Amino acid sequence: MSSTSSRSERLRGLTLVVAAALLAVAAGLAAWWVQLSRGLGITGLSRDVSWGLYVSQFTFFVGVAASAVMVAVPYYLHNFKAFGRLMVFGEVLAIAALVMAGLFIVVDLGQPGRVLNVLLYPSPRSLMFWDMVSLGGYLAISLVLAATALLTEKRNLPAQNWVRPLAYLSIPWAVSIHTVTAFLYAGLPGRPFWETAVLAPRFLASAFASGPSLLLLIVLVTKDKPGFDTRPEAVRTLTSIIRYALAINLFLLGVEAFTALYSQLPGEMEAWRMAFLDPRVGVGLWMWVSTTFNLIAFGALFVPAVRDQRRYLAFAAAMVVVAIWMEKGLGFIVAGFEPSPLGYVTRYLPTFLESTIVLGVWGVGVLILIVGLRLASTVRTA
Amino acid sequence: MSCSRRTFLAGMSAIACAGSLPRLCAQSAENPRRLALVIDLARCRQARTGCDLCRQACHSAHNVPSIPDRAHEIKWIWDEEFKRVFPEEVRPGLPPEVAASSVPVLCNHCDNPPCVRVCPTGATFVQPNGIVAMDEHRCIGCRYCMSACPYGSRSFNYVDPRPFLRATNADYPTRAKGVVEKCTFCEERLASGKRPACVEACPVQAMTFGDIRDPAIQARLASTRILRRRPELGTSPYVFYIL
Amino acid sequence: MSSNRTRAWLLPVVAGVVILSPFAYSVGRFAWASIFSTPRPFLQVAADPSRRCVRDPAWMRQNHRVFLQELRDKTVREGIRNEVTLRSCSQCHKDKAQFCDKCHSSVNLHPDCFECHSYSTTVHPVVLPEGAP
Repeated sequence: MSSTSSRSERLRGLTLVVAAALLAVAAGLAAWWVQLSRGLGITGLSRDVSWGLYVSQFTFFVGVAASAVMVAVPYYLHNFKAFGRLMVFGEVLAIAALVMAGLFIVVDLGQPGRVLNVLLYPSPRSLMFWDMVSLGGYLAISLVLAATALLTEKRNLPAQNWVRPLAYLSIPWAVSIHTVTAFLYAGLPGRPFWETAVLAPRFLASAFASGPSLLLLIVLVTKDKPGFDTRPEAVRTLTSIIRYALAINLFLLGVEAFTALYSQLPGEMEAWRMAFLDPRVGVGLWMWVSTTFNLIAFGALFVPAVRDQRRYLAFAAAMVVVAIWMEKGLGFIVAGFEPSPLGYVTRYLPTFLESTIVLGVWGVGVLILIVGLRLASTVRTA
Repeated sequence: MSCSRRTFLAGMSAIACAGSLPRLCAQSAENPRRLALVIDLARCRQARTGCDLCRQACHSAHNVPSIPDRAHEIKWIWDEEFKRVFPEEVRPGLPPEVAASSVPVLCNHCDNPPCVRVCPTGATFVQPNGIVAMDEHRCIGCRYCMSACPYGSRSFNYVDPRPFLRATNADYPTRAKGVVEKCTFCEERLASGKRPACVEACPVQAMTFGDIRDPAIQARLASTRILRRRPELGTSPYVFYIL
Repeated sequence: MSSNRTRAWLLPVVAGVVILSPFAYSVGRFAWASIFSTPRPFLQVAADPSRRCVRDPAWMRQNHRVFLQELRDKTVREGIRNEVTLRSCSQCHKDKAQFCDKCHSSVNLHPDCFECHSYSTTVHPVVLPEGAP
């Protein structure tokens, strides 16, 4: 039967993904072991570029986690019922992203065994302290909301009374986690590329473009699977959200470009030029490519064929994710360090071991995502 | 029993005086010094070309490793080109010997240090005498302070430093991999009345170190050609350069 | 099916054993050391009557960790440097292997103090370069 063969195909596809994820986690653990014994010198980091792939990936995935709010706001605040079935996926994605973000911080630390010092010796003036607090809180909220969503679906009961206030709380909290992450960078006096008031809005805009794009990809990939029947209305609304968020992201980019290049303030101008226009690998090429992708994806999302055809829509969504992943997931951080306070340009290229650790963390995220989605599917089809 | 206004006022002022007496006494005895370093660049230029004695003294006193890979290097005090340290001073008519000179740079022990503000564990903190200190036991190696420092004064131990130590000063600890380090104004030497190693090692006595209110320091700071690194950032650095 | 049901407990038990095994190992080592190792004196040189340890051995045995941590915070965070230092101990307890490591190794404890600090009392003079006044 076609249904059984497609089911076995699905299982085989799922097994492959799970196997690949487990392999990545194992490799990542091995590489992290090497890093623990030899130090962070195994990465491509340097005295001048002291943050790289790990912290950038942390930034990107905090954005993905925050983007769950783009599903929550229409559903909880505007009664947009089409997003009802989507809420759980948004929560699961947020949980996976938050766990990944936390792991990226742990692997970035020089002394990870001492990470609890952040809580033992709280420093309220440090944004990193607030990042830990807000991310921890949001993870707790997301876990509770996801669990209750699944349980209420399983038992076919209406949501409990206390869930709604918690869902309302999650909306400003989601905005705050990514604002706090932006504040990590935007409050530093010596880094002109990061020192802009528009950073938090830009982070949010790019998060609201990349997160829903990932969600859209999940929806499109799982569309035919049992329990994943997302309404076309939801897909259309998600696409609109992505389109507007990307528009705002590009607008804010233009605003930054103008402020830096027209004012001709040396620090700002040089930092911006080096970030976006410098063609050197390990300096500005990443952002150059990512901005181009952003523009292409933005244009593509307006073409009717893309909107209407699943394959093209998936491709456009993937392009958005890749573009913003390149921008926030690597280019932005490295660009902030070029040039160094004493005017040196030091290239940053992730090493093999560093990339393996990153793959390992991704593997963990993929596994959480799969477990969460399977749980949702099992609950719905039972 | 009525208390006349006079007795009341007399009583209150007596209490106020008594209350402030300990503080007045403490102000002279305990009021901490605010340490500052003045570097006379004119004298520094008189040393032989490539003079590196401040760096060598500091690094050997504090077990700072010599790591050949520039990406992983650790330095507490070192020389940089004038135009890199004071780019705003580069102007037409700048004397060529100044433009071509080297300037020793180190942690500025700012009055308003951004590195202290961002540290999530309080591993870097300000001591009462103004020194921005490092607690290597608490540092988690997040390197946020390195991003925050606008002067590039901080180094991170990307590798275990011990194999790269030429000679070990057993009186001072080394560091382990995974923590950030920087100049400490030789806080351990100050406790026994010594001056910082770089100040002592300078062959032309270009450096003056002491309390900002010290007459010797005040005399040097009275010069009209005092520079501080990037004063517009509001960090209020306490390493002063005499141009 | 019955085979599924009877084997339902297998996974949690195996997982529990795997997760708890490191702790069981540590506890086992500690118990073994407590029961079977005989205490030996920590002082290898003749006790100098003019010198005394800052605290008596029983107190030190119980509290040396907290004592050293408080000393560390006093020195590093408060800048008070006139007191006992980490190296004061080594003036009498000359052999670290007999003093610190003996007990710590037997319970598989590895404090990292001496990854940075040096235990030896040998003082190497600071190598100031030539030309320094």
